[in-house]
Amino acid sequence: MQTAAYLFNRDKLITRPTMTHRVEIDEIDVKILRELIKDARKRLKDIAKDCGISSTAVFNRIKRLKTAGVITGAVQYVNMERLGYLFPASIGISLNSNQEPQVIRIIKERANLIAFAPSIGKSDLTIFLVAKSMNELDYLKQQLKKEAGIERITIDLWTTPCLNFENLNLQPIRA
Amino acid sequence: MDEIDLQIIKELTRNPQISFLKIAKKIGVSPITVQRKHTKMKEERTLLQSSITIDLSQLGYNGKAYIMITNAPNQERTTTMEALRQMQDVFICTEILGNFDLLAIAAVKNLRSIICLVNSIRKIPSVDRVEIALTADTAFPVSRDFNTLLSNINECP
Repeated sequence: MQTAAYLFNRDKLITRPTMTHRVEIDEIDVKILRELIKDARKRLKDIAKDCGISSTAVFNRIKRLKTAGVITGAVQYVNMERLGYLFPASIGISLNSNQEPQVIRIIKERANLIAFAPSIGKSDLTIFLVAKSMNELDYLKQQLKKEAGIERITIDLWTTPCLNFENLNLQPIRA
Repeated sequence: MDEIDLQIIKELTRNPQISFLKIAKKIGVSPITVQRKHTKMKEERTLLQSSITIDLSQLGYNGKAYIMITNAPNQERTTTMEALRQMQDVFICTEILGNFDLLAIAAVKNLRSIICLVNSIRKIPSVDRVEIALTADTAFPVSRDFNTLLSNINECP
C-alpha cells in the first residue's frame, strides 16, 4: 500500500487539467448537461425545447461549457460482446514500489484498455479493460506477475455492467 | 453485422456527434442507409447510448470511488444491484465474478460524501461487506482511451 503523499505526487499519471477558477453553472446548464449525458447526439432544437430557450442560446451555452473545460468530449458506447470482446474486467493491482509507469506500459501494450487510474485503498492501480478470451486475461496476469514490485493482482469479470449516468447528481454552481 | 455496420460504428466512436450525412459521405453509402443501419443497431443494442464526457473537477467533484461489495449469504445479488441503480452519484454498477460480488463506481465530492455513500450501501440489507479504493481521476464517465480502443477494431467478429 502507498501513502497519501505518494498519491498526490503522481498527478501526472492522471489526465487532469490544472485547477482553474470554478465555472459558474446555472440550472439551465445543469439541464443541458443532463440531456447530453443521456444522449450526446440529441439535437439542439430538442434540447432548446426542453429547456425553454432558443437553439442559439443552447449552442452558446454548450460552447461555453466546452471552453471552460466542463465538457471534454463525447463517447459512443458499443456492445463489446457483439464485436468479439466477451470479457469486460477490472484489475486491481497492489504495488510495493514505484513500478507504476512500467505496469501501465505493459497494460497499454497488451490489453484493450478502457481506463486506468491510480487509486488508494483496496488497490494502488485500478484498470478497466475488455478481453476477447480468458487466455488473453490469463496471459496479461502472467506478464504482470513477472514485474518486480507487484504485490497482488486481482481480476474481476463484469457480468452485468449497467450504466446509470443519470444518477450523477449535478447541481448549479455559483461563483 | 457487416462491413458497413462496422464502419458506421468506427465513425461514431471517432466522433459520436457526427451527422449521418457526413458518415455517408465518408464511407460511400447513402445517408438513408446510414440512418437505417443506425436505427437497427440501436434496436439490436449493438450501439448503446452516447454521452458527453465531463471533467467532474469543474463541477465540485474531487474524484471517484470504486466500491467493492460482498453480498450477504443467501441473498439475491439482483436486490443489491437494484438498490445501487437508485443510488445518487453511482454511475456504473455491475455484478462481478471474482473477489467480490458487485462493483460500483461513484463520483465523490469530499470525505463526507464518501462516508455517506459507504454507509448507505452498508444499509442495503443484502450487503455483507464493503471495501473501497479511491482515485483523484475526475474524467466522467471514463478516460479517452475507450475511443482509441474502439477505433482500432478492424474486423467483423
